[in-house]
Amino acid sequence: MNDATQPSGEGDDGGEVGIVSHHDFDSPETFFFRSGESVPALRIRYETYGRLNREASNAILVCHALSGDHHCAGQYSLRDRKTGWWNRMIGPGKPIDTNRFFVVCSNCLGGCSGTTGPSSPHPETGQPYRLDFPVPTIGDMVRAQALLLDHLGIDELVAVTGGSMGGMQALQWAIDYPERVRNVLALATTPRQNAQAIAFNAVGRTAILQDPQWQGGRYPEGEGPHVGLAVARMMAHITYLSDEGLQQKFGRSRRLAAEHQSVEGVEFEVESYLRYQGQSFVSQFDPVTYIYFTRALDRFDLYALGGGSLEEAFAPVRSRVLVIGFTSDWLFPPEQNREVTAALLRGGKRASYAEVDMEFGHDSFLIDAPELRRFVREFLHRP
Amino acid sequence: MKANASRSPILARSQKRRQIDLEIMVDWIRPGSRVLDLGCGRGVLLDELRRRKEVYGVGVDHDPTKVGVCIRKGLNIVQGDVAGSLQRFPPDSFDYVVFSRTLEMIGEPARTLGLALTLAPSVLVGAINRGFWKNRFSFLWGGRTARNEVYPLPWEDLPLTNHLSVGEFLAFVDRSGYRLAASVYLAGDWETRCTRWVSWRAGYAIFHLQRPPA
Repeated sequence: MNDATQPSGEGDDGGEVGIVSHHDFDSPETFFFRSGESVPALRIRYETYGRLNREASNAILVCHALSGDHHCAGQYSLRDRKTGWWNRMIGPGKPIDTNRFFVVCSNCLGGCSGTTGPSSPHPETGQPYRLDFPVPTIGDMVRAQALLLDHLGIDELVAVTGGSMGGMQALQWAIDYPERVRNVLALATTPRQNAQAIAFNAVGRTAILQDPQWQGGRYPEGEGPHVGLAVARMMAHITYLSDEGLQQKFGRSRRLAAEHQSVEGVEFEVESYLRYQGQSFVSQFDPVTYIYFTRALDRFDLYALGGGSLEEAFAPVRSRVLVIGFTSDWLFPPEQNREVTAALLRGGKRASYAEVDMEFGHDSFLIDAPELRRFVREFLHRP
Repeated sequence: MKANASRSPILARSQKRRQIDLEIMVDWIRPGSRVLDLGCGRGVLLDELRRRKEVYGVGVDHDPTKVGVCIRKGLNIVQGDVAGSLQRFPPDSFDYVVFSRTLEMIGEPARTLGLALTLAPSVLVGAINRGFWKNRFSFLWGGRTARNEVYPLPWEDLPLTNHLSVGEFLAFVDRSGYRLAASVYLAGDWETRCTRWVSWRAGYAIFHLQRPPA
């Protein structure tokens, strides 16, 4: 816990949660995956902001997306310039107000930022699990989060929220634990990916698997399919943005005049940006986790869960749901978001759909926008 | 509040509109029913229906600010357009579909009303009467549409694409074969009910349409 309950800042922006640190929860029990496979023990890395009240009734769970982690707000030291991935949304006086709420965010099961996953040591061999780690589903991730909440003594959540893969988890929460979730806030998400989104994930996986350093997943520690992972990230990053967003940010601006460039060099600013994204990703992310998480995304299918009917899949839901789509998101387009709300309403549930007009594509949900902040604030106003 | 309202004619009208739609539609709608409010604005009607009639309501509006207000109130709201929203629900999903000053704003009202009447056996329409005598004289003398507290905007800024008058609507109902189960006409003050010469005298009209008898 930390000092995230300071007086709220002036105006709409709110204050900062400040310096934070992560915690580890070690579950000593065997964790069974939906596939029937299991791991003998589980570590879940997480962060919390704000204070849990005496009734443990003010908790909000934040679920991260594919490349995110448990660090969604604050910074690790005064010199740490990089704040958590949703820092603009979480803090004292911010839309997810740490003066009111106790915010929990954990690294997903199968992740690579501290929670047990393919890069964790296999308890028998001491070597990384790699492909011996079971492939998690979104449902498995949610069940691991539920274990953490049990450990924290939280029976019922004020809300569970997340964007993209985090939004899938939020919806899964509402289905799997209807009595534990009062509100669901899902952003830039989908009840199932269309062929296009699966296709992009397939290219990313292929880049990793075709990297000569992949070696069937048995590469030495510290080595591995770095080029493949970087290429996968570069391509995926394009799908998170938009034509307009990229054009606005980079246009056709060049680093050097074309005639001074070798064809192999970095010529355009956008090229340089993507290379940097790819390279920095390699030092933070595990290739097997990347393959696993994209598989989890691809396999997530609420229609199939409901025997072809989304309404059927949502039948257990008791939460109030707000889905927010983004106009320029072509990976999980507004239509797929709106359909989640429509299906809930057809089933007589309490649900709303709001749309934010932003040009930054799928990643818009991570970007600070007054309209987005306002929707979140209104939704949590009287939870 | 009241003093403020009387100083701004537009605000006064919009508040009065809420009141009249509220009182009459809330009165018409059966307790515990399912209501789709197209163009629900800030959700005043749905909020009232939820409170007084335990209605399961769904609102539709395209204005993000109004959507935010509905979310704050805890109402079910879908940000989007009327036509798209109608297609998201199977037949008989609702007991009532409400158009409160919405029908004038959309294209193809007949098609929209037809679709609405598959979604629900009853459709409630609240609309300003374009054929109100003052509007007629305005056009007659000036050759221009009226500009007043009800139509505050000049021609080029008007969002209305299908002006609705009592005469047009009643003729449409005749042609369509729908059943007009009830209607209420309010005079130019939007308060006093009137029953005669309504095509001239009504400033505001509220209709209850039903599917044609089988």
